[in-house]
Amino acid sequence: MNDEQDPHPNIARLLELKQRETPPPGFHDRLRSRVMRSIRVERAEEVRPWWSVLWLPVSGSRFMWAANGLAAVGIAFLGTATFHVLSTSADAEAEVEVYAALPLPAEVGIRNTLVTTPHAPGLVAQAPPRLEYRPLPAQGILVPMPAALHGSVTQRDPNADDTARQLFRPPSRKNPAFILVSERIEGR
Amino acid sequence: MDPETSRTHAPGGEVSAPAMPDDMPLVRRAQSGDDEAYEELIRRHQHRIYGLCYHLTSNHEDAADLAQDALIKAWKALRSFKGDSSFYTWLYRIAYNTVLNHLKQRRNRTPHLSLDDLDFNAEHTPELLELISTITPRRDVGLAELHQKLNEALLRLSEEHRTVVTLHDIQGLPHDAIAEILQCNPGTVRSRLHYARQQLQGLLGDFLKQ
Repeated sequence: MNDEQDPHPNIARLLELKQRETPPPGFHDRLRSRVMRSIRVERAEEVRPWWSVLWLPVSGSRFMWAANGLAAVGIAFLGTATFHVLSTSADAEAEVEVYAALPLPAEVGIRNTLVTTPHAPGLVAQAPPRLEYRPLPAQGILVPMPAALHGSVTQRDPNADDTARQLFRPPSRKNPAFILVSERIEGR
Repeated sequence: MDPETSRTHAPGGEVSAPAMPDDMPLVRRAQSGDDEAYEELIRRHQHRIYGLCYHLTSNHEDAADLAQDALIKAWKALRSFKGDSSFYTWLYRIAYNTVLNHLKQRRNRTPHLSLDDLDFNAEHTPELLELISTITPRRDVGLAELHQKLNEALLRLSEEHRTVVTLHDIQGLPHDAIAEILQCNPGTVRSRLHYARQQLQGLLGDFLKQ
């Protein structure tokens, strides 16, 4: 369709007004600068290593601070847990050494005796006729027991020898109020 | 002189292709990584690219963003340009597709006309007053109002019709070049142009002399 045959000539003239709609002065210079700046950034990212590209969006953000905080807490927790496990296993090894040095109960010959305690006058405890002592105290159960009660038992039985006393009052440098009770005693 | 207005009318009213300098040497340099060459290409074509984006959206801010996107996309795709068509046709096609995607995304939103930043200082020049008086019988209508009505009418056209009106009647591209950009035949371009003008006549009848 030729423009000469255009039945709406005024429309074409009206549309010429649109050519006068121009952006603010300096706009095209700014646009060109923005485009070239973006292109230079894109080019720089092309040569950047992949880990750097991944790092860039999160660096300096709140997410980064939160992640760093979480990592610090995790490291502190791991450190504490490791220290606790190491110190516990060291104590257990020391205890094993102490018990391993004791004579076996079968060689001691514990007598079957009845004893009472001043803290529970009506209670009569029976010492086992024969203790099957297991030389691995780590498998036993640590039961808190007042030292006074334990001491009274040994005092009420002056005939018991040192070996029996040591069985009920195992040496412990860190916590003397705790004694080891074998599974056999616990079942009594 | 604004490159957008530097069109020529061939005998018979047909718009001839705008005089374009040979872009190929610059394109070759830009393809080999010469940023200054690409900057020069931008300098040559940015007015038209911005104009296309602006006339299709009627919004200065959107047009600025879209023109920037289109020029960056063109830079990224520059290695794929083989020179089968002219560089400005190829660049126009990228800009047109960028605007088209944008318009599809905002289809459900009310278009926002932004003319505040545009230059209306020429409103009172004798040339423009004469033009207005030849177009409209209404002496009370100002240039800003006329622009507003014109933009509203353009936005009521379909994207295809608005595009051919923009490329032909505003930017002065010939039918063949428009056909190449839109990847259709020149007959389709003429047909769309005729239909678009007919619609504009109906929408702006009150402002036009018969």
